[in-house]
Amino acid sequence: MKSQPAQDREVMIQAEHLARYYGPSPALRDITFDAYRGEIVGFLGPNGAGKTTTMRILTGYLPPTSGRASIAGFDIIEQSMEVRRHIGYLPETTPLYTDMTVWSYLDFMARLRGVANRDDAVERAMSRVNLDDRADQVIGQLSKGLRQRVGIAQAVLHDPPVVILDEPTIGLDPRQIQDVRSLIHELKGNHTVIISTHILSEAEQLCDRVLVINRGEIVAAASPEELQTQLAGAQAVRVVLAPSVQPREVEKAFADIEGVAGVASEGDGRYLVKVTANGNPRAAIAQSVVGRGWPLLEMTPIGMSLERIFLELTADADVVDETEIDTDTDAGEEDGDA
Amino acid sequence: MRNLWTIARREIASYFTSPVFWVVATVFMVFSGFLFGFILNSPGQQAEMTQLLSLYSTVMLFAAPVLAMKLLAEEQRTGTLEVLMTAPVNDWQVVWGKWLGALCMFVGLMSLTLAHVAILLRYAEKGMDWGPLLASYLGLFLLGGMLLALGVFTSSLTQNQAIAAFVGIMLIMILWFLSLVNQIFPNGGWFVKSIGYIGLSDHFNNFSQGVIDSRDVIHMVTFTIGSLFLATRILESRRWR
Repeated sequence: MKSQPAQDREVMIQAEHLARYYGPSPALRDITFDAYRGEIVGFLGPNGAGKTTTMRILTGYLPPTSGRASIAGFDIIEQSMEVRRHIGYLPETTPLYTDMTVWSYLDFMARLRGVANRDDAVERAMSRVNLDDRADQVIGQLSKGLRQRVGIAQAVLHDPPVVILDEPTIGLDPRQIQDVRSLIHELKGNHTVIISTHILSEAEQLCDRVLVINRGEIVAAASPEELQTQLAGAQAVRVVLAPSVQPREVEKAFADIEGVAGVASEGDGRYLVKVTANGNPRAAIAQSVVGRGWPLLEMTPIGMSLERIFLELTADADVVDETEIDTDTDAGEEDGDA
Repeated sequence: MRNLWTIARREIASYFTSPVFWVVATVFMVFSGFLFGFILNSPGQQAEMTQLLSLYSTVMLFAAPVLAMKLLAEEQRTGTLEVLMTAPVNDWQVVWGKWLGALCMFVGLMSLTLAHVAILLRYAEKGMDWGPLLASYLGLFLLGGMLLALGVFTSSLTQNQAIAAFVGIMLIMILWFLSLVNQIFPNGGWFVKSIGYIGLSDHFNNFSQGVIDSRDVIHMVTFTIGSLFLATRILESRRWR
């Protein structure tokens, strides 16, 4: 399921040093990334990090203040019309004309995009999102989940090489979230898909690559697995000793143990021992503690989940506090029964 | 051109599902029908279609901004504008297409008054004076185009339809009565004359007297194009803010 090495694949999106200011305040400082054919790239970040602004720049809705980008080889400023022909875009709020029927809306969008074989294209898009039996329903009467599907149908109608979906699962119930996720998964391969999300498990499930965006900058870019293993170390162990033990000695003793990446004293006899990838020094730590006759009060392994990494990467206190970082536990549970 | 018509078609279809349109249409029909019957039945009155049309047009001063108010304001409120502006369509095509859609509805409404013409034709003893009538309809068409363009402009300024309509009506009232300066200062200099030229009612009255003057045509066409141009620029400026 994982993508091939990126180098031998066609670059579909190229963004170089994109920046965007609203007045004097920067919404985007410096965004540089490539996306390849057939890849699902996730923008992950707290609300207000610049995900939507980046998408709006790529779609040609907003011009960047500086920097350049191209889609399918077309410059987003110079060849805006070509770019627009090569993307399908669904904004965060799923804006649709609620007075139209599903069919007439998709037909309208197909006309605007100059799709050659309109009826076929509309029919195909509708069956891709499982809306076949809804052709004559008025959009205003559809549930949020069905509207989201209409929005996605609209974005893939003209079979664009690049599909950009801004928070495609926001505001949906768990079942609808699952539907939309599997839809996005089906898009993979034919299209380069960019989704934005602040839900970690979603990025983990859907994306080949995750760009963690914070305060208008990419702070990490890797596959979800790499993020987990490389960036923060796989594991850590919390060791609690009697406070009487000298921290310096503990640090020295633990540092020599194989599989230990670092030791940090947290005071009061608490130590956070970072573990190298694939290392398991717990037994050795215990031996070393007991061998020295230190009273061992507690030893707990701590998993570094993507969500911890995310919090660490975006760890400006105010950002973390002010924005809801949805760690999405219920959606995670729901994944199990689907 | 194709894009323009695609957008206009969508607007036309959406008018038919919009209660606002039916209210405007009903008010117009009741008002014009009542005036028609009233004037026909008043003894000693000459039944002049051109006079009637100029009376009908006063409804349009209010109706046009109401017809146009949703065109861009609603798109901005719901966010559908973002989809339109990222589709392969130029901004001016969006603006002109919407205006064209509204204009089609306006022409449709106006063509209902042809029933009045037909009734007059049935009972007219000396036949119809076609020249002034055609001039009147041309004037009405140009006036409709201009008022709707002003409405599109005010609709581009806000996300709120009611505000768009209100500002539109105010703007049209000011323009309409600007012509009065010519009567207030009959000996005014070039300044008064140019203000008077901007005013709307004199130009329209010329048409309803059967006079097609290029000054009147230029006035209305200029206002139409100018308003739509401004609306396009305002739409574009959304990208830069």
